This record gives sequence, structure tokens and C-alpha cells, in this order.
Amino acid sequence: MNETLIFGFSMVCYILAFVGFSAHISLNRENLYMPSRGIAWAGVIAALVALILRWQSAGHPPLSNMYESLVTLSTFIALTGLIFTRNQPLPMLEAGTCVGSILMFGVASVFASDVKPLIPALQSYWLHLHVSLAFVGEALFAIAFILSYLYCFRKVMTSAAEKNSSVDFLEKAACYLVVVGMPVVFILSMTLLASYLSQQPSYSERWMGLVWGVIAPVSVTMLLLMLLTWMYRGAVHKGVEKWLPDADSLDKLIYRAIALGYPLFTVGGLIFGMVWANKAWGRYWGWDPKETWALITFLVYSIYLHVRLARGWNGTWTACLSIAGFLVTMFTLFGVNFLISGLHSYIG
Amino acid sequence: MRTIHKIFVSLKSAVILIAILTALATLGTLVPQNLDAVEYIRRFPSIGHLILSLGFDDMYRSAPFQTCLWLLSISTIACIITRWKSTYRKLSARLERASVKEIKAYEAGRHVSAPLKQDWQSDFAAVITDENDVLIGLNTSGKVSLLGGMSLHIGLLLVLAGGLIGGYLGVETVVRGSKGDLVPVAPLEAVRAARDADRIARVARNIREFSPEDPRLDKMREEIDALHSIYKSGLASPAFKIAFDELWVENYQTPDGRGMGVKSWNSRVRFIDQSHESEPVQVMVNQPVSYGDYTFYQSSWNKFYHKVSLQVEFVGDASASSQLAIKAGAFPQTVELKLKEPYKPAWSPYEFVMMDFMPDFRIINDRFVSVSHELNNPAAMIVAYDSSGAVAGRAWAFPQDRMSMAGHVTSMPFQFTFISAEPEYESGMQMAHDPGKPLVWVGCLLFTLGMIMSFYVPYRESWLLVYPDGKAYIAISGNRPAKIFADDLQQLDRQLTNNDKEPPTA
Repeated sequence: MNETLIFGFSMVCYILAFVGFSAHISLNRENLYMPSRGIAWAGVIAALVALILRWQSAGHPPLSNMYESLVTLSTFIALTGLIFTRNQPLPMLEAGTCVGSILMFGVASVFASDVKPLIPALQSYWLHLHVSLAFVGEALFAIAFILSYLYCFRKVMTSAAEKNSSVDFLEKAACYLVVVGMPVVFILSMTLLASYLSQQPSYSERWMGLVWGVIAPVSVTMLLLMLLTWMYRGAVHKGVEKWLPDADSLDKLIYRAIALGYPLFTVGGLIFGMVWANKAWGRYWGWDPKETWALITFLVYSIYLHVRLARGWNGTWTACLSIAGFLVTMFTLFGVNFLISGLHSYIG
Repeated sequence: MRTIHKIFVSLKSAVILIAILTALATLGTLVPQNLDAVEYIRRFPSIGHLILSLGFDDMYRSAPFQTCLWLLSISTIACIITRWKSTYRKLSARLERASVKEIKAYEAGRHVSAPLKQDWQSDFAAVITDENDVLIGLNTSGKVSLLGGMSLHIGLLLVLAGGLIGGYLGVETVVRGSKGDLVPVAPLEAVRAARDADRIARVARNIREFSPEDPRLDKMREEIDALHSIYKSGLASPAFKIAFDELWVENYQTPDGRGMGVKSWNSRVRFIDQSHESEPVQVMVNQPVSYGDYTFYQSSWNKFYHKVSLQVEFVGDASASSQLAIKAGAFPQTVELKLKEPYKPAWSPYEFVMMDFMPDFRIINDRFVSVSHELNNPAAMIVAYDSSGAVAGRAWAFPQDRMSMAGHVTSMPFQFTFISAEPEYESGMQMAHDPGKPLVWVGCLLFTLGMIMSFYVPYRESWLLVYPDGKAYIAISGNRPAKIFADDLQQLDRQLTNNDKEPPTA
């Protein structure tokens, strides 16, 4: 069976799960939660089967080019989201991970999906260890990002609903910036990507898929959601109060996701990468743009952990740091491949 | 001195240093690195001079970046010393240092739900009595977690130290060779001298660009000459030589036998020094080989065509043919030309030189360029010289099916058709020596262990306070949020009281 069809089925599952979680939250229907989770699990299992089939047909793990990397990361994000919420239902986070997986798959579909044999540099078991472990770390960073976004969203809703809110002006401004700014950043970066791809002969037609399959629907949905949230802010505030944990618990969940992802990313993305680079290129570190941006990702999350654990910072500012960390992670994944050439350029 | 110590111990300084390093590293990926000075001025007219004066054209060796690394190393040492003190206090005599006030302040704590069982003391590893006759009991688990932070920071320090050692004492260069070549490898000091000469030459080029009369240039020239002579004498008496015995490329193939790209490139080499000759060893990508002070990595390869067979036809009406006495019936002839080597066939009044050969040519922006190493669309440029050495004409040779193009680009009385070309391989091997590597690997190991201990091993202290009036208070602390200890607290309560009922909330 063609794995593209199975990936398609998996995406349909994620969309249905997202609709289910949204209905569960907005209609306050308790009985929709477990079926939505079941559908999301079906999507993850289908995506895992598709990845295994692709691995089997290609003879190497699906981590060797942009398409394979993005579908794998998309699957990891959905899977990590479901595991992360196994003991504590967080329908808003689960809906968020579904959206993350759908968007990641949408972007992946722009790139060539044909199976190509591995170039000599990638023929190493370090490919499995380095990329897959780094992706698990990045999936956890994605979870932390969604939670951070929800944290800021909660603060915005609280400050809008309560006149004498304890949220100070700077914090409020930062939260508004995150809530409104992140979708804008996403749409802008996708537009930049589409514009870049439109100038590449090999993507002559595919980039339109990004415009109609990702940018247009996301723009319309985001505008609609923002409008509805503003119009029904009272009801949304009640929903947030009911379905989102309090700000303190959200902050702890963000820390938990980063505390899990940081060691995995450091070992997989940096240390295994160094060992492999040493074996393949004769030096463990060469300040290649990809290496440098992976280091920058590590440094940003290191700052997060230092200020949180040792200085006792928490709340809005650490949530903003977590968001900055994820933006850097995404730049390492996309920006470096397209904007800066280097030794890792083959994965573009 | 005290202030300096405070600055380095402070977490704020460490965070600021990490933030500056992050910013500089980001700049290093955005500003193109290691270009010539003139290129920075051309690309960045307004900030080009600033980039060069700050050394951001070679960011990761620049003074600001290196200073940050050194300061971070010092800050890490200060952090290790401070951490060691607090870790030592927790590891040794924890119970003796504890106070009732401290224990009561823990978030996960409450009075026990029923009277303590008789033998409660047997459940605690240690029990002491404080000055108010309160009995304090303590059980700890996951002590290794306390060492996590130490291990992590020592690991980071070793990685930084290894990197700095590698930067100052390590060398990296490429050796190239074709089949049958014997390539000398200079001793380590000579290669280091060549590396230093390159670095000085680069700085000198930048200085000369803006101030050609700068007095520093003469001194730099002397230094470069001295370093070059060390390198030359190193090459004259090499540490060893590399004999390239065999180079080959394996390709992926489709089921119908067509090539699908490179699967691997390989070299079989021998290392020969004055007293010893090694067995032939195979060097492949991801499979390096070490010899002497160096490790060799198969980093690149080049396929080129040194020898090309061509069929030659006499073209009577070409511009240069009028004065020639050539027997037209003797054609076609076959010639074998070697790249840039003159050859004069007996039948020709000219000497031919194949100036260029492109295995897969395309015309891009009115220029002939080769887009791959494969013989997909070969083209050879031949120049004819007369007896006085003057250029008599030029011609392009193409395969038979594209010969119609040749008429437009040939000014010779001969037409050349491509028949075949023999591929030859050149192997590029990265040669490296980095004495800092062992430190880096040990550092990585300690860093990883430190993270595992810190993030995945929970440290837990279970406390019991028994007051003189018999009342008892339990508490749990550790490196996890208090909420996580709720179940543990309940379990501790059951264990100490034998009370299976749900205890009241604290």
C-alpha cells in the first residue's frame, strides 16, 4: 500500500481529532474527549505504519531529506502530545499538537516525496540516533511552545475579563504580542518560504501548494478564530477557566516539557552530531550554520533552565523564552536549509 | 578581587555571557565568513569596516567571541566551586544541618493522621534530637541527582577546554592524490606552521587592503616566510608518505542497470615511513583511518578525464584550410589527446592541445560549464598551434549525435568527434590532528550523565518530626515540584502509622 495514502488518512484523523477536541471545549461536551483522543491515536498509528513502510521500501530511516524529516517530526509531535497528556487531560494542548502535525505535514507536502538512495555521508547508524533523538527533543519543544502560547492566551483572557487583573502592563503586552504575533510570524515565514521556493526551478509548481494548502487556510482560520474569540470573549474566558489548568500549573508543564526535551536534544542534536561529524568529516565542530543554530537552540533553552531553576523566574517571561527557543528551533530546521548554505544543505 | 569573584559566581553574569555568545554565534551565521576584505566592503558598504575591525569576518576566532568563551570557562569554574560547597553540605551531615523551621517550611508536609507505630525509628536511616528535644528522622533517595549539576558543569568546562586546546594546537588540512601517487605528509610542527602562516597571511591581506604602507606588514611578511620555510623543510623530510593504490566509486543502480547516484567513494592507501610500510587500508566516508599523529577521513573525491579519444575528419572548406597540403582520403583519423599536453599527429601540420574537457556540458549564460562528472554530454575544446607557436584555430568536439553544433564553433580545417574518455579519480582526504578531542569526549560524557542525573533522577528527602508531646509531622522535599510528592506523603503516613484510611488534608 502506498504510504502517501496512509499519511493522508493520518492527516484526516488529526483534522477530525482537532474538530473533536474543539467541539469538546466549545460545546462543553465531556463525552467527546475520549473519542477525539482515540481518533488522534489512530492518526499517529497510521503515520507510524506509513513511516515504517517507507523505511522498508527505501532501506533507510525516513530522515534523509526535508519531506521525510518533516513527516517524521509531524508524527513525533502528535505522538509526544498524546503521551504527554496520558495522565492529565489537556484538550487544548492536544488540539494544538494536532494543528502542529497538520501544518508540519502541509509544509512537507511541498517537497519532493520520492525515495532516493542515501548519499555516502548519510550512510551511518548515527543518522538514526542523531536525527531521531533530536526530533524527539524538538517535538517536546513544540509541546512547550504550545503550552507557552496557551499560557499567554490564558493571561490575555484573564486580563480582558478582570478589570483589576494582577497582570502588569509589560507582561500583558508580551502576552498580547505572543497571542497575536505568533500566527502572523507563521504566516509571514510561510510566505517567505513560498516566495523562496517560487524562485527555484525544481519547485516551479509545488510552492502553490504551500499558498493554497497552508497559508490561505491558516490565514482565514486565524482571522476567524481571533474575531470569534474577541466577540465571545466572555464564553471563551469561561472555557479557558474550565479546560486550561491555572497559570502556575501551565508554567510547570512548560518546564516539564523542556526538562524532558533539553537532554534529548542536547544528546541527539549536539553530542551525537559531534560524534558523527568527527567520524565523517574529521572534526567534531566546524561552525557550520546548522551546527551553530543547533548550538543557539541549546543556548536559548540553557538560559531558560538557568533563569528558572537558579533565579526562580517563572510565568510570562519564561514562557516567552520557551517561545523564542522554539522559533530558533524552527529556524534551525527551515531557515538554515533555505537561507544559509552549509554542509547540511543536502537535507533541503 | 571580591567584586570580580562575585561577578563570576553570579548567575546573572553566566546568563549574560550565554546571551552574548548566542548573539555572536547568530551574527557568525549571517555575516559570510572568511572572505577577502574587499568583499566585505563591497557587500556591506556601511558596516564593512566595522565587521573587519571587530574581526567578525572570522567570528569564531575573533577576540570578542574567544573572550566570551574564556569568561564563560572562568564563570563555569566559579559555578563548580560554589556548587561543590552546597552539594557537599547536602551530601554530608544533612540531618545535622537541618532545622525544624526549615522542615516545616516545605510545601509537601503535614501532621500524621494517627499515632505513630511503635517501631517507627526502624523506618529511618538516621534520627537525631535537636536542642528542643524534637526527634528528627531523615531518609534520602536519589543522592546521585545532587551530583548532576556538578557533573554537567564539569562536562561543559572540559568541552570548552578541549575546544580551546584544539583551536590552538589542532590542525586540519586536505591531502589529494590519484592512483599511483605518493604524497608526502609533513610533520605536525610543519603543518602547524603552514596553518599559522595562512592565518597571518589573511590578516595581512586585510591590512594591505586599507593601508598598503602599514609598518606591521613587513613583520608579518617575515613571519610568513619563516613559517613557510618550516613547512617546506617539513615536506622535504616528511613524517611519512601516503601511497594511493586504488580509488574507486560505487554507484547505486536501478533494476535495469542505470546509475542512480554515488553510493560510496573509497581509497585504498598505504602509509610509508622510513622504517615501516603499513598494510593497505581502505578509507571510506564514515570509516576513518589513523596513522602517526593524524587521522584520515574520506571527505571528497573528484572524477576527471585526462585522456580523450577523438575521431578527426578533414573539412576542406574551413577558413584555415586553404594553404594546407592534406590528403583528404586519409581521413577519418583517430587521435588520443591528454588534457593540456601537446600532440602532433604525423598527418597534421598543427600541434593539438586539448585545453578543456567537460563531461556533462551545458550552455549557461553563454558560457560552457560542466554540471556533473558523468559522461552525459561531453565536450572537448581543442586548440591548434602552427609551427611558429601561434594559434591556428580552435574547435569543439561533441559526440556524433550533436556534431551539428560543432560547425558553429570551429575555426579549423578539422572536425573532431568525441569517441570515448577514460575516467580517473582523485581522492580528497581530510587530515586532522586535535589533541583536545579526548577532553571533549569526556566532557560530553559527563555533561550527558549530569543531565540524566539532574533531570531524570528524582532526589527525595523524607522527614519526620516527633515533638516531646508525641505529635508528629512529616514532610517530603526534593528536586521535583511539591505536587508530585503528594502520593509519597500519603504513603509515608501509612507506613509510619499503619493507618490505611485516607488522611485528612493538611
